[in-house]
Amino acid sequence: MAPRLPAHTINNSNSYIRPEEEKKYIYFSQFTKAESGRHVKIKPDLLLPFLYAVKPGTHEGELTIHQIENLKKTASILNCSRNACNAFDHMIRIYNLQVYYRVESACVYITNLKVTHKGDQKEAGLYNIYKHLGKTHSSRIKNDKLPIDESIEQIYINGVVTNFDTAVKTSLEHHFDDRSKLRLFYNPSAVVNELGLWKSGSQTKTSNTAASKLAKVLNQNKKAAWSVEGEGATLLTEALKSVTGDLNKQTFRIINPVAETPDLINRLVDKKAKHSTEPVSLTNQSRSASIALLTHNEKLAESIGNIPEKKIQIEDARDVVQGHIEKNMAVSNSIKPKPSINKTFLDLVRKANKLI
Amino acid sequence: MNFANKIVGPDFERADLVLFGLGNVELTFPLPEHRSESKNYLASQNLNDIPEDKWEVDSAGIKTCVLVDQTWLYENAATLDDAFSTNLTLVLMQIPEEAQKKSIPLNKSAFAYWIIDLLKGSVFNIEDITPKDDLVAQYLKDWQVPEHVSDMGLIEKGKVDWFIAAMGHTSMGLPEPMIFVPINNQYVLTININSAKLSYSDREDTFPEEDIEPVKKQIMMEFLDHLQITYSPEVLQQIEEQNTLAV
Repeated sequence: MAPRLPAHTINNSNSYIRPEEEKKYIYFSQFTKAESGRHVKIKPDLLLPFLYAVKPGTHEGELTIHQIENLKKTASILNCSRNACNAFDHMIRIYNLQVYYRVESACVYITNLKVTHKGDQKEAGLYNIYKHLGKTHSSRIKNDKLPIDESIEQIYINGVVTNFDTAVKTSLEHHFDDRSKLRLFYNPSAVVNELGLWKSGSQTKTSNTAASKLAKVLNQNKKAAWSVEGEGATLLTEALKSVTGDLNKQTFRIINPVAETPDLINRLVDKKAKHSTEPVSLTNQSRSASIALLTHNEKLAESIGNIPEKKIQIEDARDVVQGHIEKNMAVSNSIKPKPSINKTFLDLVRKANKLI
Repeated sequence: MNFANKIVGPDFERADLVLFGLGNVELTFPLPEHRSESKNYLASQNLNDIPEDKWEVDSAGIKTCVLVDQTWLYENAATLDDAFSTNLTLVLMQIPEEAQKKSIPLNKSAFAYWIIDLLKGSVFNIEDITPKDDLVAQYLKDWQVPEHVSDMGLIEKGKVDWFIAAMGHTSMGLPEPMIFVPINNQYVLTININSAKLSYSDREDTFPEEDIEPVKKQIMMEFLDHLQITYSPEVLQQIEEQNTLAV
């Protein structure tokens, strides 16, 4: 028997999948078309979060797919105890993916996907980074306060990483000027999880604290060259909401942007921040950036074009992402669901995965 | 090895062995494939073949070269969640000429004092200060540098002993251990093994806080047990001479 939930946790407004909504769902895979067990269907717009979290062809990726297919064996709703604060939503965890689903008569509907990254317990904030005798050393900067002098700071905000050591090593790869000290604004996985990508986040204390610490550093408006990687852009966007003055002494470079990068660039432009000669750079290894660009490639080119520095020509800026735009347009076109062909979600996933 | 709380990690008994030829000394260690998050070791496995651009030189004239930089994940066998991430770095250090002439790495007592001075020098370098600075004592305290030889640990390995010295800024918590292994009169190997406890923000962490440090230590000792260094008879003789002289 399913446990009774407190009344305030039950969402009555979404109690069942309406017929018009049902049409938006497609089969998860060929194995979920109910030759045995229930149908398993999913919303096609969950394709990008799925690709972000699951890499088909790897051991973990294939196991994840298999476990989702196994939802067809889901028992009667009355026996299901895996409730997700909603009388009708259930959730299973498969590696770093949370799969939210509903069970209705003969069908299991996958309604949402959420990624949770593992991470260490090191606190978010500003750190000094040193390399000496082949080893990295670090120290926490008290109150996140930069020294008051004329030096130019080099500050790196990491994307999603397993631990602090990895963030330190990545920061050193972006230490392009040996004359200045390197600082790391550590963005732990707990903050990335809370802020979320693909609009799946839910802010709580950890991410609010991290964003306010970052805002404090930005508000000092000291001469600084910032490098912001991957999911670090989400934290920076959040912090900018609390920045009170202009950022006219600070230069920003965004590496492998994910999520709402066009929004971030526009906010930086509003705050009169400077942009490096290469405002957005992409490395071939970044799967998450490639996926993110699928959603907002045009918007990104437009926002780069809005950067006022004269040295950045709009055409040059567009070139930064043009190669990816062409590639990603091909991906976008290839993954558009075509009901007549009767493609499953997994067909789309595998096709897109080859192109990323 | 069986770790506490059902933690499962790489199997050092079943792994590819990597061999580095360091002149008259051979260094052998296993690098298991188990859930490696990143793996990076120098392709050239002979000291004379290490390209010049792989060496870094610090302000005190010490040359270093990273031989191995690898990260493994250790998982909780009960939940399959990753419980620890462990990074191993092996760094070969060519000591300054003056110290080479005195064969310092081969003399246990001189080597121990040299390590203490080296770590103090690291703080001067990191903080950009000189030994005459008024705040030296405070900086050394902040970086938790061992003051005396007795503050270091010792791993007895027959005729050659390895030293464990810990150092790290107080703001980062406990100091991180570094193991110093004498190779010959020119080279010293430093080993850094750092483990971080991992957690997931969407699930309860049931790993007891008091078990974290013991597991980290177990992980470190497991690798050290599998690291083998074979000295040539000439080097062994030099070691014996150096330490007899010291007595």
